[in-house]
Amino acid sequence: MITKLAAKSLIDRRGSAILTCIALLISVFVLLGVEHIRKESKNSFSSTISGTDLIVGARSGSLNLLLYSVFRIGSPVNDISWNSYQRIANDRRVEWTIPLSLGDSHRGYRVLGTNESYFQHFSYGKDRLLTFNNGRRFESAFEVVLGAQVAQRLDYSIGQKITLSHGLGDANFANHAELFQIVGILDPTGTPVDQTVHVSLQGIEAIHAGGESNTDELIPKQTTAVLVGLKSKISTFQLQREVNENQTEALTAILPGVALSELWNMMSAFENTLRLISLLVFIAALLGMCSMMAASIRERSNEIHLLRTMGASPWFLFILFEVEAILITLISVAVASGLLLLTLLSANQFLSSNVGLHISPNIFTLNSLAIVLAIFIASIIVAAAPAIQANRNTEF
Amino acid sequence: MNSVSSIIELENVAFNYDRNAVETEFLVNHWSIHKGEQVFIHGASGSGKSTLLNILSGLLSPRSGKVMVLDKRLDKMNRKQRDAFRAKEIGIVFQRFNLIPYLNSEENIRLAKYLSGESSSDLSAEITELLERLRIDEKSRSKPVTELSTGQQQRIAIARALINRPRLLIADEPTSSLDYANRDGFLELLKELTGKEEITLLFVSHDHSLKSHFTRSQDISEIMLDGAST
Repeated sequence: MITKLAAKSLIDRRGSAILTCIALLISVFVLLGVEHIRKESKNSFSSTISGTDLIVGARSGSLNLLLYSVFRIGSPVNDISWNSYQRIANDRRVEWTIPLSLGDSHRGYRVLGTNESYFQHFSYGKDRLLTFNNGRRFESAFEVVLGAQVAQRLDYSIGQKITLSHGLGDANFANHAELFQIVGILDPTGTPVDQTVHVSLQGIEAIHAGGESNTDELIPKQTTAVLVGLKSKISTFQLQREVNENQTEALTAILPGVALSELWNMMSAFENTLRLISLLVFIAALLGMCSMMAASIRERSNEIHLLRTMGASPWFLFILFEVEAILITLISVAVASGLLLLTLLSANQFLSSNVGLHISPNIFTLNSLAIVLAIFIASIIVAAAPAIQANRNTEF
Repeated sequence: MNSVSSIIELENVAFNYDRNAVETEFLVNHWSIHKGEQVFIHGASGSGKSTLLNILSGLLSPRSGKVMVLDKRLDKMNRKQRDAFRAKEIGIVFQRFNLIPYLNSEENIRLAKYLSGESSSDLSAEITELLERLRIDEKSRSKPVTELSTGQQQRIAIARALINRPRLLIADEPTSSLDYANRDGFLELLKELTGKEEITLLFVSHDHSLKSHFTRSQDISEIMLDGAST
């Protein structure tokens, strides 16, 4: 009965109720959205790579190296010579290496030249290795393995032939283009691997050589970055120092974990600002609801008096006003969650293909549940003021 | 007067709106009403009649004195008890704002039942019977009360006040917003319903001409003067 009364009363004052709802809705949307994206991007970032002890690239900042080698964002400053790669790969402390040759693209997706050790050793998340949804690894220069998203978006399947072009342009045709056959499609990983077109190092050479070239002559002359796995973690810093102090070539070696948290820290100021703003928006919306209710109590003084004479206790009135506030909050949270879900679903493609962020549209996590709970508690507390005010008017 | 058959009995009742006031604003020494009486109280606005009615209905608590309504000492009750007592035992009809505007007629009546805390096995039938006696057609039952005429609204207000079968009905200027033709009909209906159910009726108005409808009539100043002089 009390809920029905509260609902009908809100419907009766739908003009101001809807406005209050919208204000609250926007703030809840922002609050939940910021928290969700913050958490998801952190997850996405830190699960992009695992098991790799060092990333080696041409001399540059560690963030730059991390971004282009792992996230495929930005461009490498320089390549590293094949000799340097060989020296690292043959070091007695090194267990495995994965060469990464970047700089080409296929219809907007980055092409990565690597070797079979990529499929053996590259891991993401909690030490998960890459698995094939269909097909196999590349075995010759003109075979290609697609990331899950590439295959899905471009509607490619095993056996199809595609052209890979030199450079990063989103071109369907190019002068330097070679026909490659799709031999494998990977399972989705939720990392930039999904948006990568994998070819062998020879394949990369073929793209660069252009025209007719003999497969046997396609010996890699350089690579862009190297992921290094060590036999023992103890030698990590030692090898890192050696690479950084290398006299023959200017190289940089970074620890992915350290670089990832550096990247994350860089964003935390921005992230905290966003949180603060969303919190302030929420407080403003709550105060808006409070003032809406306070105003309504003045215009409802007759109704309040009538309820009192009908025998409604002050407690009943208090609950009535609280239920109204809870209903407004409930509608706002429900609509905001729905909107956020829709927004994430539609923005997911854009974010993953343009920013390399993988944001799960599943917003119903324990964290957001806690936020929703806090929102309800806050609105109940804020509504208490006008609810008490309602009773004061009837007391003498 | 015989206190056993008294339905209302006030003795040495003093009240102040301002808790810290020295002078008493409202004072009744002795006043009582018998069971089943239909009493007309005449009083202009500002004469203290609202205070009297609020004390009788337990909305206000006197500073001192004895307030006996339906054999219950209201002055000895706490606020919660008075609220429950009012919901169950007293029906109140005002001049205006008798109904929650965003509920329909039936919902208003159901709300009154709900607030009394009592349940009914067949509330729907009870409402139907009551509305029939008040000559309200079936259509108006589910209409928003704002779409009803003032006369209809006042009759729904009676239904709302009577649904809990109160033993006392307080009517505070209920006819003042009605036109002349509606007024007499409304009064007769009110008397008929309360008479049949042996509900004591306390009718307050500034309009002297209504006095003839009642068996007993008193001026508010007499009630208060009575106290002041003794």
